Amino acid sequence: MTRLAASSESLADILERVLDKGVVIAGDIGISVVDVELLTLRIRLFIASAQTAREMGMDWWTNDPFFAPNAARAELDESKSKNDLAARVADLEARLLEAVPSRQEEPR
Amino acid sequence: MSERNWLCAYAITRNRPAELDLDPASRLVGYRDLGVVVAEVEPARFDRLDGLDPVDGTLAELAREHDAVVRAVFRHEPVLPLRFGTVLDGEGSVRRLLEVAYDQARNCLDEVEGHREWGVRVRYTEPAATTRPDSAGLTGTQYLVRRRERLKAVQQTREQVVRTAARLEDVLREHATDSMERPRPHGVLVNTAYLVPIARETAFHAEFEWFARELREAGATVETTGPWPPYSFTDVELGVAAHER
Repeated sequence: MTRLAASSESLADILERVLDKGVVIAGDIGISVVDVELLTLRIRLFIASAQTAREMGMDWWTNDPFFAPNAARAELDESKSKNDLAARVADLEARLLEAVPSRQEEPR
Repeated sequence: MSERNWLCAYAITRNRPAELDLDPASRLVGYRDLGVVVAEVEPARFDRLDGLDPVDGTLAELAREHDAVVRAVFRHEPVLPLRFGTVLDGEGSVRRLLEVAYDQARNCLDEVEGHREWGVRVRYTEPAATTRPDSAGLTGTQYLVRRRERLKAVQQTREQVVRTAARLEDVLREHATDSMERPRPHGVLVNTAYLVPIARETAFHAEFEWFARELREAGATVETTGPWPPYSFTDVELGVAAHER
């Protein structure tokens, strides 16, 4: 199996072409070793579900350090957004404090 | 069954064994000026493909292997890739296939010669329309106006992306001999394979880059894959019946 050093294309792209395209030999000089149509259908469903999950934000596993080692960076981003939130809260509190004394002055 | 000489067939190509740099497991079975690249195979290898995870299993390995053999031939000669899992009953069957389907195979091979396949994909998911304007210091009416403007901007960006993607397809088609639309899951605007003459690849990619920049600026994901052997342009069925022997 030394010939595996092939292409850098994604497996999904390869499967889509290798299983679904190419010359078909009909007749009785071959045997059908694989139910290609069934395989194609299963691959399509798999690809579609992975893609749909990504689009719908349901791909939680890609950001989970346990499932995806690359997720550490995403976690950093998350802590950054937490900092942003903290800064916004501080800002809002400051504004609130400014507003409160002025209202107390009004009745006079 | 294992006593018979089953051959896994990968691609139809020219019958010029000297031009090919095949690995020891594969060989070329020729008839006139055409040949089929085959390798001896144990059909049992394909047996347990059902119920396997396609991403990391036997199917992935076999599919990559199939692609690797086709590509190895394609580096030197034009190819008609055969569907994954085509297994023929010995060299006699391979020659009979070429004999019966000679004209059709020869014409297809001539058509794809000097071409490579390129895939182009454009994805666009519009930003969530739920982001609301900062309501600080706004009256209710001002807030609603802002919000409507924001939704309108999202809509306009989408329309611009769709228009640009359509123009990209038109222009790329001009540089290609043939094009084939592939399935488009939700969020995918373009998923097309182009059969591009090698002499026009530079122009094809220059056009692609031009439009890709515009699409990326608008927030779309644009990618190209390839070069591929002409998988998407060999949707042919070659039929051989036993009585034609």
